Amino acid sequence: MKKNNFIKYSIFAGALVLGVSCTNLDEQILDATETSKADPDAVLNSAYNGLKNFQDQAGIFAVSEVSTDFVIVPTRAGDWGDGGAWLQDHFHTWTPDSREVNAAWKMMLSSVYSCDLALAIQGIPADKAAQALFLKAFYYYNAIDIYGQVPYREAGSSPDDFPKVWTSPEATAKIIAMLEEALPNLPAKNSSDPSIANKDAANFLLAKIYLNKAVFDSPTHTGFNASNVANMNKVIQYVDAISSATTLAPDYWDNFKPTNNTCPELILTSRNVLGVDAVAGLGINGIRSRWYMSTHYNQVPSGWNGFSVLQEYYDKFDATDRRIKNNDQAIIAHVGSPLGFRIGQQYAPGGITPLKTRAQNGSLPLDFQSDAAGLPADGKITGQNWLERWGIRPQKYIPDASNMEKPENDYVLFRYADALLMKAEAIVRGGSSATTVASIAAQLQARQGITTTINLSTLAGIDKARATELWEEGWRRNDMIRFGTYTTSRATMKNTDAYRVLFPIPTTALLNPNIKQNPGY
Amino acid sequence: MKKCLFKGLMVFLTILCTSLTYSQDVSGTVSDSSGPLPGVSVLVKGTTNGAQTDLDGKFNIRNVGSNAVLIFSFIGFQTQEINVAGKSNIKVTLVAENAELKEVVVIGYGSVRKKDATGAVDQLSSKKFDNIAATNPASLLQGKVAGVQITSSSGEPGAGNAIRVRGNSSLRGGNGPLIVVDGVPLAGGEITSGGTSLGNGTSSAKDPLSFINQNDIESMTVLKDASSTAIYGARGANGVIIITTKKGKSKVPELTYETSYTTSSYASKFDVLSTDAFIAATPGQDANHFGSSFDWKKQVLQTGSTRNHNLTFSSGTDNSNTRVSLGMANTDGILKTTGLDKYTVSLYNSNDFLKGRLKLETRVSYSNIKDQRGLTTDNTGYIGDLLSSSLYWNPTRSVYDASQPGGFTRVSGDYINPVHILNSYSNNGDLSKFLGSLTTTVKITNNLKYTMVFGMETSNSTVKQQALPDLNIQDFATATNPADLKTYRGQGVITNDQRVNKTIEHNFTYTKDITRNINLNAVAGYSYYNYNSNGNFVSAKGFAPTQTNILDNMEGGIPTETRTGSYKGLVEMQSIFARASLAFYNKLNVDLTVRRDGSSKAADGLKYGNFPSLGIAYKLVDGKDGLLNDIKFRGNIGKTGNTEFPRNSSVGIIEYNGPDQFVIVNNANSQLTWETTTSYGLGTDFTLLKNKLTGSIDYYNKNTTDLIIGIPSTSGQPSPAGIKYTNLPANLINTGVEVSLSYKAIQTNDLTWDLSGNMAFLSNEIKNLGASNVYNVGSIAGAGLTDSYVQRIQDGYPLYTYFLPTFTGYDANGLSQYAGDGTPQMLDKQPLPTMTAGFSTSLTYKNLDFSTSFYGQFGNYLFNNTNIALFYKNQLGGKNVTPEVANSVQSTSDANTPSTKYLEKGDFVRMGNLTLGYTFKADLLDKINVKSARFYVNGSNLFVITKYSGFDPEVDTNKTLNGIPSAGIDYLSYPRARTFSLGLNVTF
Repeated sequence: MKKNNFIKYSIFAGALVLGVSCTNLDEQILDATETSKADPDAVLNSAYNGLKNFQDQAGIFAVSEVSTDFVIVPTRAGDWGDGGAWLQDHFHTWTPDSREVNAAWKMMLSSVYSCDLALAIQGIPADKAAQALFLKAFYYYNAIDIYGQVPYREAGSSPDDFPKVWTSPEATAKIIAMLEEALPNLPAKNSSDPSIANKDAANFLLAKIYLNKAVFDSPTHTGFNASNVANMNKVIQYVDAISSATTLAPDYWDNFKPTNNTCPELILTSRNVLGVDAVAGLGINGIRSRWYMSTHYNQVPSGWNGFSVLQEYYDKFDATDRRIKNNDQAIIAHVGSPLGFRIGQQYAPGGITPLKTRAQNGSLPLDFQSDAAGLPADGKITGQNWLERWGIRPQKYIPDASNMEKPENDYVLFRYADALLMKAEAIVRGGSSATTVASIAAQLQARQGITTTINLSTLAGIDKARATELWEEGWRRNDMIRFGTYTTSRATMKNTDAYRVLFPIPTTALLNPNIKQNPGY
Repeated sequence: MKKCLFKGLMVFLTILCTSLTYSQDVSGTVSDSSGPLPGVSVLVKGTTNGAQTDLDGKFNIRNVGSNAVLIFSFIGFQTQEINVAGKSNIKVTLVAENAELKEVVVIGYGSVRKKDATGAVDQLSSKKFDNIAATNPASLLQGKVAGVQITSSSGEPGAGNAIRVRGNSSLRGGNGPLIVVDGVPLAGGEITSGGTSLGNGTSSAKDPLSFINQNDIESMTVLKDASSTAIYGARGANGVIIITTKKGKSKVPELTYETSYTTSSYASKFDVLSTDAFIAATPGQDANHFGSSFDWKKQVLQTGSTRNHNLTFSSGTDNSNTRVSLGMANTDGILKTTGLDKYTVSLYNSNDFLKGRLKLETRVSYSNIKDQRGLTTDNTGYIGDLLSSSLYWNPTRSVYDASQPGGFTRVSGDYINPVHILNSYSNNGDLSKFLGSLTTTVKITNNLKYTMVFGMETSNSTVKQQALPDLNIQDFATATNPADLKTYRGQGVITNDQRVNKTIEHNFTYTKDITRNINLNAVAGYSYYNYNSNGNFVSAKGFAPTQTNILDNMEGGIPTETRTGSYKGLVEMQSIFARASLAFYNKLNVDLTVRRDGSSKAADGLKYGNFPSLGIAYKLVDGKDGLLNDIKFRGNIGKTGNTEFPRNSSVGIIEYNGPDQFVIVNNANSQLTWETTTSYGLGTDFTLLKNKLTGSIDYYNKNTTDLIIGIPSTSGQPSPAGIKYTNLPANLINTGVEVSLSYKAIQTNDLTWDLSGNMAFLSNEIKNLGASNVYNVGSIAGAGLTDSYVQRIQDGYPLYTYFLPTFTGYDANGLSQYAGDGTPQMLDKQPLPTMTAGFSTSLTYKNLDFSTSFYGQFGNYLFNNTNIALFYKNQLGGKNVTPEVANSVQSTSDANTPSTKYLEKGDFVRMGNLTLGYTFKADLLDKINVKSARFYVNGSNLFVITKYSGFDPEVDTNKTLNGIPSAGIDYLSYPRARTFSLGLNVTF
């Protein structure tokens, strides 16, 4: 009996021991999907998400505009200090560890990765592959513009390998090839949705690349004095290839209104949908940052009081030019002060009640000025008189009264006015065309309210025309390099290091042994 | 003839009578210092004649020679031998055995006499902490064990504790030790979500140990070095804490009731300007003087209290014993609207079958914790949270304003009213945890034993956060309704989280005396762990202005603002292990351990690792009398491992956030495997001065390589944007010396006095990282501090070294001046203590007992994020500041740039506990049928000596940047409280 019990218990124990078998420890993915099995349409959309990076005020935008003669983001008693990131950007004192250097690198190249994912999908339809290829070329264009050399991954290579590197001239040739490959399969521009990559956008981008090719072909981007006539003729050829459906809008501000998706002038945009958080989960700010980055706390919308236009840039314009002073009644009623460059006394909605600075800083009249007297050489505003009110403030997009947080203004990336200016510049730089620069100038001048004279017969005139037409659209740095003015001393930037036409490769990216730091850093 | 016969008979009778007289019955009573002792073994020396004392401590032995010697023995007491000397009634009092080296310590998969242990093992029994009412068992270890550092992340009731055993061996998280409760290793990690705090910042999750009722803990053993932790292989690199819960002990049914009442109050000297001081400090700012008065300590803080009740029943028979305990604790925190309610039930039952061949032990414990948290976060921006707004609120301004909606003053969208938050924001969590295990032990032969443990740990948590629509804060709980284009406020978030963790362990234990002097104890086994987690959340925004029951009516939010999500994950681990312990001639002990672990989280082909270790101990002096009683030298060397990275880090995955879009979740590394720590150490355990002084000294060196770190994606572009977990070929070296001593100064019947202290010196350094690899850590938050960081991990420096410019003072205009060009430099200052120390002493005099303990940390620096975010001259006027700022010469336009201005020494000494108790006399209690009763008064955190100007120098705000945690940054930590409690323990 006892023995029986013992046997019973041993069998029970034995069963337990054997019942639990060894498992293989394959990792199970229960609440996500392997990247290689992602839905093809969704992958293409994730490639488009990279365009949203341009909507944030930091990263690629900061690199393209804050480092120029357009805006500065001063430190106001700690506000906007951010470890010196903004001032380094403006004063050209950035290092390979600077925040914007790292941010722009990550923004552009992780977007390239999303395009590679899309292109790797088996059996992807030709028009979708073309769109992914276009986007890849565009992201690389920006990376080449900023860093010169760019890393790339060959299709089918292991994600654990270190990427290889193209030099600036190699990369430029590659993106031209990408665009030429994509062109035939890209759709025609959708007249109510220019956010879809289209033939006009590819032609525009090719024109842009050829315009800058002399710069890009020099590994240190110091070729801006050389103008290659063959390149210029290519620019003209591609601008002319833009379809006739794309034309200048009669009003400059049609490009920036909430329903700008129907504006015929727009060639490529990053789409926003009313009431939808376009940047959910991406860790960036959406287009609302274009208002918030420069409005004062007491204005509508109550913003972060940062970005300020420099006096020298404001002086390029005629004071009544509609492009910097849009005081349509609806706008004054909604936000109190005109759009464009806000200068002088600011008002509450309705335009009657004058606004003041905050009580702890003296409740002074909110009078925006970019007086040199108010901005110390180190960019840190100290005088109470200037602390909150220093700086003419840029306001580019028309605020959407129905939803300021999640507006439907699409973010403009390419538009036709830029294409026309590129053509004019190509002609002045030696290209041949049946059109004259005077006629292009007349087209641009003919728009409603353009009081600043547009003269496209000289490079200086084109520089000024581009600065006044395309302000805050992300081209200023690229233009200044091409015109040779990026590293020259100016009122608020005294660092003339010529090597700074190229940004440094981020220190952490140098872990890749294939990348060597850019010269000078 | 007749005469001879009669003489012989007389002699015979005499002999008979004499031997009859010698063979007497002896009876008596055996007791110890507090009363009769049942179960004591009484043996006639040289015979097998013996008995055991009964429930009243009485015994009766027959046929005892009048010159016989009786041996009285009982576990935990010194054996006594008493000569009968003709007596028929003997009263014996046994003295407790105190020599710690005779104690048995629990180690992995077994237990060993402390004398024979080859590794550094420290055991804390419940006697040492029975009288301290703590909400978390981990805090009971504070200051008691050399090399173990407990830092609670804040003073919040139930706040998480960071436990560090011998420093930080890892760069990433997962620096905490493995916790094993009754043989079941806990999954670790957080079990309630920290909460997204509705866009205002995130807060740290609660500690997984808080579910254990400390009254159920019998002992806590800390395994510190390779030889003792290697048997836990891949999870033992940071030490192991083994918690053993109480079993039913006595054969007599016992009912114990314990109760205590604790009050707690704000214990820091930190304060902002009072109303009058504020007015005096802001002359000419009449626009900022509102004529009313606000004192944050009165309107936001309160006196907290905890009411604790515990009922335990235990009983046993010869082959079974049972223990059931029920506990209830209700705590109100010192911050209004915060608190904790904890209910625990636990059951222990063991049964022996087949004459002890089969033993089944069942343990079940269930606990439910309901907590209320305020809007306290770790990384709020310039708008602030509950604590920051309490500090910056203008003290001349009333928080109430009848003319405003809801009756609370509203200043502006980015200036929060703290009392309004108390009223309109709530964060309630409900966590239920179940831990059960079934341990089957089968004695196959006298030498071979088989044990199987099946354990299950489940937790269910629901966290509900609600902001009522009357709160009007910028960018917080607000949205536009596309249907009518109006803006609505209010938000509700419900988050559910479930974990089910199963453990299956099999092991065989074999003991044999190979020869008379060589003894072998071997263990071999297999374990499998299965950790399941899943959860979901729903959030809704934009409710009707008068709605107050948002959480129960979530569909009242704007339809396009409702968000939902869910997740599920599985991690499996399996291992085989073996250990052989050899004892030679009672002088030399050798332990050899090997474990092979596999984890599903590691990448394909790299799933397994081998972790061997060797420990040797040599007893130079053993059990001698006099000045040198025991001296043992030990040394060990071994490898342990760590796999603390998130699951699915080695495979690239995406998650859909719409039918046509997805987010790339991770930056996968297909070569990801675990980090290994190779460590060696030398130590000595000794007992000196007639067994009065016991102590140990240890030296250790831990070298961790294949460090798991999240590399920013910039390095591998083009790639996904997230961080990539990588094994760095760098070395993180932790070295240290630990000393612990305990001294029994006085040991008489009426008076005893014990002292004990411990000290540990630690240092760490990172090597072979590569001069150009630097990792920025220690993110700080506040206005103008986006993406700012203050620490750096760099080759050749200690971990988290501060990377700041040096502040040299203010110039004539009140602007900050910095040394050199004002760029940040690697400083000789870092946030991890270089020395920790603890001291405790206890005194008993007749029925009174007194004990107190101190602990301290030295050599670390803290960065005061609260000061840099809230307190600088520009803020004075519209907001309140500290007196230091009000009186400083700083100008109002001076920026709050990170620098050494905000870096302060974090050295402190704290009086952790002071207890005074009275044990009622036994005869008094007999009248009411009570076995024992004790009344006590206890104070906790009575004072702290420190130079740090913030709330408290013991901080551990979670400031992870790019997946690398940090230390030493103080940002609005929930203030710590000083507590007083009264308690009563009664045993029936």
